[in-house]
Amino acid sequence: MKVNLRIWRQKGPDAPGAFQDFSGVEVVPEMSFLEMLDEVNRDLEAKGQEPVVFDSDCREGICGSCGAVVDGTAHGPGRQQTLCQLHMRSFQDGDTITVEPWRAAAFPVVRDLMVDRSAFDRIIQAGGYVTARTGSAPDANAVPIGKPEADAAFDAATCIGCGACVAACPNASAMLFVSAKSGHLGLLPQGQPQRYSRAEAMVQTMDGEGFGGCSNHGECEAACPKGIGVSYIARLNRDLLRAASGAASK
Amino acid sequence: MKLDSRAPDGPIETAWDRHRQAIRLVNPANKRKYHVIVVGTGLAGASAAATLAQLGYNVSSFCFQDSPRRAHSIAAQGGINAAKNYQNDGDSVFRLFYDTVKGGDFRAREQNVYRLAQVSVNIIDQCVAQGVPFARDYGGLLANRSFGGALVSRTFYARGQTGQQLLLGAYQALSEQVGAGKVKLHSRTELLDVVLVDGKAKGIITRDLVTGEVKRWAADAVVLATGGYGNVFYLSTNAKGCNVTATWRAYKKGAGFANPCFTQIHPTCIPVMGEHQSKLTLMSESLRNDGRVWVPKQPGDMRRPRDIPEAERDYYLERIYPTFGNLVPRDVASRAAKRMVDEGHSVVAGGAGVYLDFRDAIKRLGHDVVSDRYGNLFDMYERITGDSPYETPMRIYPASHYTMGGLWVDYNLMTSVSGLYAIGEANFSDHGANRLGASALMQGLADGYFVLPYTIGDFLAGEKAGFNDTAHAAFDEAERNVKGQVDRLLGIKGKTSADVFHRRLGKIVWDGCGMARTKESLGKALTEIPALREEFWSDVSVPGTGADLNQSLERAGRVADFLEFAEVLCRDALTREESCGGHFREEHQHPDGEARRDDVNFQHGAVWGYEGEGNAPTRHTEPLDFRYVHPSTRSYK
Amino acid sequence: MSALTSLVRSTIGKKVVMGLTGLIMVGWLVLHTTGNLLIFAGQDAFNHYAHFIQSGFGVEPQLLWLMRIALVIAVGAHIWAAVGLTARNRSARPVAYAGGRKDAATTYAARFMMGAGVVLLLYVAFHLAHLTVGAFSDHPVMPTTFSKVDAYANLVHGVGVPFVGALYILANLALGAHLYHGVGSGLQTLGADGPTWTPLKARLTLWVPLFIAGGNLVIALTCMFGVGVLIDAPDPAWVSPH
Repeated sequence: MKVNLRIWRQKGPDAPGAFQDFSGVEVVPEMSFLEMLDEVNRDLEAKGQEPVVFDSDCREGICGSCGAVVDGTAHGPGRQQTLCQLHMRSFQDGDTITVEPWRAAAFPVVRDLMVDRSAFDRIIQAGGYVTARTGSAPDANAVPIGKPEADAAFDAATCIGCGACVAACPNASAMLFVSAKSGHLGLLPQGQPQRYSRAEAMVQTMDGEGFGGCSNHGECEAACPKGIGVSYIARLNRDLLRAASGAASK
Repeated sequence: MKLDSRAPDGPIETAWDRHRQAIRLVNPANKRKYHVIVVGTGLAGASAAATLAQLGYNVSSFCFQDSPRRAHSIAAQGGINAAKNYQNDGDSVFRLFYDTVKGGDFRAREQNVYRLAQVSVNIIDQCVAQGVPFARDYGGLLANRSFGGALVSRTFYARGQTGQQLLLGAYQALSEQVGAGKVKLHSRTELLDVVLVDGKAKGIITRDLVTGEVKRWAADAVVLATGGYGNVFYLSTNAKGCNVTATWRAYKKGAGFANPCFTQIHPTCIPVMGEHQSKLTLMSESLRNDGRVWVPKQPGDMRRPRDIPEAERDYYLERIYPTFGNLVPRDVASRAAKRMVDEGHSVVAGGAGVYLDFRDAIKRLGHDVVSDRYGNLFDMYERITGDSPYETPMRIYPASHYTMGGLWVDYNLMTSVSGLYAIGEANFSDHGANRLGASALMQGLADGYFVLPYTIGDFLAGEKAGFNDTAHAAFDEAERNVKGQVDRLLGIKGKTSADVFHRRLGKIVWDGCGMARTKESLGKALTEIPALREEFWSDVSVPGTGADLNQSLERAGRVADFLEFAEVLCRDALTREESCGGHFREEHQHPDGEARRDDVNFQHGAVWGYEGEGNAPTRHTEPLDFRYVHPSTRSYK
Repeated sequence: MSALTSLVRSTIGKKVVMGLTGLIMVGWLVLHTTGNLLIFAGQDAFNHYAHFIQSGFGVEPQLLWLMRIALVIAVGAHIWAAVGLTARNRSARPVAYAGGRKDAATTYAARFMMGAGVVLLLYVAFHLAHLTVGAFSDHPVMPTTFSKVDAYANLVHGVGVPFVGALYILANLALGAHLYHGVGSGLQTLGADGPTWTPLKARLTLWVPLFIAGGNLVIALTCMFGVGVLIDAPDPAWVSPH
């Protein structure tokens, strides 16, 4: 089958960008979307032209490197998948497919489909951890954790930091990302001592990075390749309110 | 090349304690005067950087990905071993040590493996303290499962995302130190050379992948945690970015490269579906806990699996290996699958594959339990293939997955270059000729959290702190070489993408030095590789410039190194005239098709030394001594 | 920095202001609508209710002003937070998706919050002028006489004017939409989530706007098309002050 592509090309964060059209690209349904881009790139390179730049690494949906907005949807049509898990069998012969990068002030375009998501790293650096010096840990079974809490923490911990939540949010908000980390660690006994300071520090950094606010549209949850739910956002809000009201220190 | 393992003599149970007592320490107040470079941010690199910074050292951490959290450790699925004996099934440090040495087919250093088993218990404690959400039972205590090559349940797991959760733990610990200013993080930065000053590793040369800037970094010691070289096969379960460049450049600076031919083929991957395929996806080995491997008894039987009656199915692993059944080690399972396919029992039309069936597990445990254990793996499989493993058996086939070989290191994890360390998959240390499932995560974290941070002190204590002379002639030369290679690649202006060369190289190496090797196949590869290399250097197309982001250039540089490395890989496989672990020479097998080791001539690590451009590398050996686990023919029957 | 200051300065702090002030207004609207529905109990009941409010709930006339001031502050704070957040949200994505972005989960109501908010602000101004101040008494296009005592007649005749009734209907549709997203969103912002709150939140999201906007719509429609039902026997007692 053949598809037509409109791929966003942009030299750098401040350079103007535009779609480049590729028509009649030969594909097979078993190909992943990124393998289709690989083919496009091999052709470009053979012609001495610069390939379409995009991030990708594990190509099995866990590293969080890849991502682009395909036909208006982060990671393309289909739920709970990353771009590398999107296959060409999701498209029809003759389709025109539009591909552009995540768009957010906090994720400046590096080139083409590649964006700079280091803001996420800085949010984690601000507080997204449990302080536990190597070697100082008690026996792993010293603190039992009920299966429901462990499972809820796990659901939040599955975040791959791909940024689709920000890309899909009408406000380019990072609340799902922040609340997932805050929820993961805040639900576990090991995360309790820093539960409130962690939430505050991460939110402060998130705001400083220029992400938008949450308007509870729920687009993030729909775009999340791991299906992380917005209830973690409510949980984060609750933690912040509790901290602000002084209830947390009682 | 001097290969002094520095492994302590005497009782193995106390070797690590005695060693720590014997080595030099850096006083706490002086640690902040030392600067350590850690390249790579996977389990080994991130945990080492975080722990070194906690100890007080100043650390610079480098990764080529956009974030340290994306290192390929993240893709490990099944679990991490530890001798906790929480299941009360008779596990112990000694048993884990024993299983690992035996699983490695007696080609690993005993003292290293024993230490690994010892610190395994600390790893689990550390990770739980960081908030790693390991699986738990309803009482809230940690759950375990069993893995290939072991008769006890000692594998801790976090659904099918254990690597991800462990890496996030290490990444978060690293991030805390970055936030505190003790670690300087340089992402999207690739190492292109190691700099030796007076024979000691004192810095690196990097290329900023966004700006193209080639930069010099000086330090008091350099740690490479840059992973394995499985992508030499092009199609592997490794991430696209995994490469041999850092370890290869270190080799060319004098670090010995040990046992490159010990590559692991993982038995349960989704089979190759077409030419376009860019990588293979692994299905966790944990699936073999409940899944049964079979092929139709009748060669060429292409009926739908559900239509093949029980009597016409060959559960060949259970038949040949009644004791271990579907849980035989990876190399054994892989070769058995290859044998079935070679005999015509493939279940992939025009390709290679066998069934991994969950029908009986679903019948026995119920849909919900199976879904709870493997749900995300089943989803992953269905997303790629369009088939649901709840309804039809998975089709699987072995694929390149892990590389046991790597830079030779001593007991302190120092390479044969003074001040240059290699940890995690990048070194050769603990797995011998074959790695057991759930042991890679264990080794990466053991090296990074509990071994290197202490042993590096022994070297640093003897060094004057604060080396920062990037104007040294050694840096000039290294930078000149790096820039020279970049210019050379850009100047070819050929007609073929580096990716195409990589795919061709992969096919040569897989055919010549894959699951089964012969003198003939290796000889063929050894003539084809230099020819391909020559073609590459005259026809590769690298558009753009070196002065900004250029993914063609990045790929071409990595392929260029693979094209050199592949030769040493095949040479090592050719010289090792025995079959052991992941290295299977068809000439050396028992009549029943099992591997035949040659302990008289090859009970050693083979370490390759660089002898300059155009010269054949030299082969050195580190003899291995087995005092606790006596070499026997591995049998899982 | 204390946890409180840090919260107030954050985007979430502004959202909390939105949520709290929103819920204050919702509470007031529930009362207001309940009172409005007394119109179906007849002129007497409705006017007594109006008088009860004007007298400061039968306690102290100043109380009414206190309530009004509180509401003005709530409205002001709600708008302040909304404007601030909207500006921030706009700057968070300075370059729009050139190929468009498809909504997968959100609702028209949620996307129309700011628009509905502006409509409601204008409506409140008109509504106060119309039925509280009586600014349009005997206006050429709204030929009804405003009575200081007969709130019932003001409402029935005032909203009975077709284009005025249409305005009330449009405004209440906007109100319904605003509340449909606002109630759930406000509760979410205030952290309401869990086995108790999640289903309750879903119910409130539906029933609160249905009651408030629906109730007012029924009143407006009745004023426009069913006046006879309401004023079958006008009580002359309300023509002049008691």
